[in-house]
Amino acid sequence: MRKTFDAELQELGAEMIDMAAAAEDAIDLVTASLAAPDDRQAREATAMTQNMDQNEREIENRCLRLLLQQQPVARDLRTISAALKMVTDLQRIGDQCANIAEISLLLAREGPVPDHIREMSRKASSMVKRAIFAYANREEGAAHEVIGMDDAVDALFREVKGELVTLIREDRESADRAIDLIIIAKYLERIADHAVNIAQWAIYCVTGSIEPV
Amino acid sequence: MTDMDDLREDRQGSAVLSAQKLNLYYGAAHALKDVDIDIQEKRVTALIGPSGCGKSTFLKTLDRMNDLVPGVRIEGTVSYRGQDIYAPSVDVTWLRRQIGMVFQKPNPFPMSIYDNIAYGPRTHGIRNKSQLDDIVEQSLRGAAIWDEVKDRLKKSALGLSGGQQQRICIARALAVEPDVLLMDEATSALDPISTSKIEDLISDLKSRYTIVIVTHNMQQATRISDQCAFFLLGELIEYGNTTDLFSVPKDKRTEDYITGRFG
Repeated sequence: MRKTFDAELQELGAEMIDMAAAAEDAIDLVTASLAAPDDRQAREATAMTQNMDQNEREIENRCLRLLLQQQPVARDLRTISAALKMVTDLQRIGDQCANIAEISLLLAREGPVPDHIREMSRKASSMVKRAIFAYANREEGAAHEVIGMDDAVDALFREVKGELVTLIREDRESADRAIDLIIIAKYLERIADHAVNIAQWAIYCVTGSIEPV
Repeated sequence: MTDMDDLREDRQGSAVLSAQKLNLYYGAAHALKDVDIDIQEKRVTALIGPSGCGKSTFLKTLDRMNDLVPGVRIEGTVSYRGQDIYAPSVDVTWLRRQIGMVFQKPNPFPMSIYDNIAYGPRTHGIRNKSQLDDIVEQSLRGAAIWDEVKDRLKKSALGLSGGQQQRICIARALAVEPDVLLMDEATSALDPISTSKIEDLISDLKSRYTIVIVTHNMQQATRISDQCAFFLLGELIEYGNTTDLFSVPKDKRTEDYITGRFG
């Protein structure tokens, strides 16, 4: 029963996984380009996120059509409404990766990116991957791990901010670079927040309840 | 807030009707199996489940409409405000005055709109014209149809549309001032506009009445009920808050049914 609907839900699941994979690739490219700046990688990240915009529209349209035609309840409603919310987080992750890639190209000429920012990038990357794993496998435990990891990223952001304030104080010439770096750090901190959102929607898929932030 | 409001507030949510270990047999067929349920006051309770699951049979046990079906045997208890309604001392006419029923197909009596509504009160001995006028007006207002029929009260109720006839039947049920309203698929024969009028009406009525509906329309159950009970093969499988039941059903059979994957 409901063969057509089940097929549609499977396609929706596949589209979500494709888009999630693109988000994972984007953050991998960003992490790599922060470690060793590379024009090609930065351009790839930008192109990838343009596709993600298209994916976002397609997934939204499918979800809205399924809500209208199938009037889903219970697990089906959770799957579709979670997809509708998560797709925005995935797309934002893509956007932020593209922005970081762009800035990191300019920065590369002026020396390596501070360790703490690279660490933020690695941590945000593993949060995104773990959150997507939690969603794809409906793993509540993994989702809670992601939520728990966010504090470390926030703490790193505060450290980076402190370091950059010191840098500006000590060397006024570095102010431009420091501002670019703080923007990157802020994007990374936001990416980690999006990973937390995805983890929360993964929990919602399983339990039906929306956890307080 | 007055003391009376306090009292009403306290009573809202307490059990008006309660079934314990309720079993019903049509001859050899076991139609209800060990049903335990509390129907809460001033709430809308929806009974859902596939055809033949026992939901209508259960609804009918609440005002003893099964009594006349040949070969019916009932075990266990159904109590209304603490009183066993199957006790020999219970006057069935009294019971049905407390617990009114509206059926799937509108069934107005072949008489005027006025007489349809006045029928019950007259049976209960009210003869005073102005008192009857008041009851008719209040009941028709209560059923959200007064404005549509106030100028044709002496015309036959059979001349009304299906949706209007159903609201006349609801008004007729309200005229004897019942405590509980039972509705057996009361909108399934109506068009969407009439259906939404009755749904709005049910939401209004629940501030004053305890309402139990049987519906095949899942969206309707989610829209208008506070509590929802899922029946399958005579068993009460799951009973709880409607939003919870339709968001995170506890039993896989409930999930399969409400998501349309039953069978």
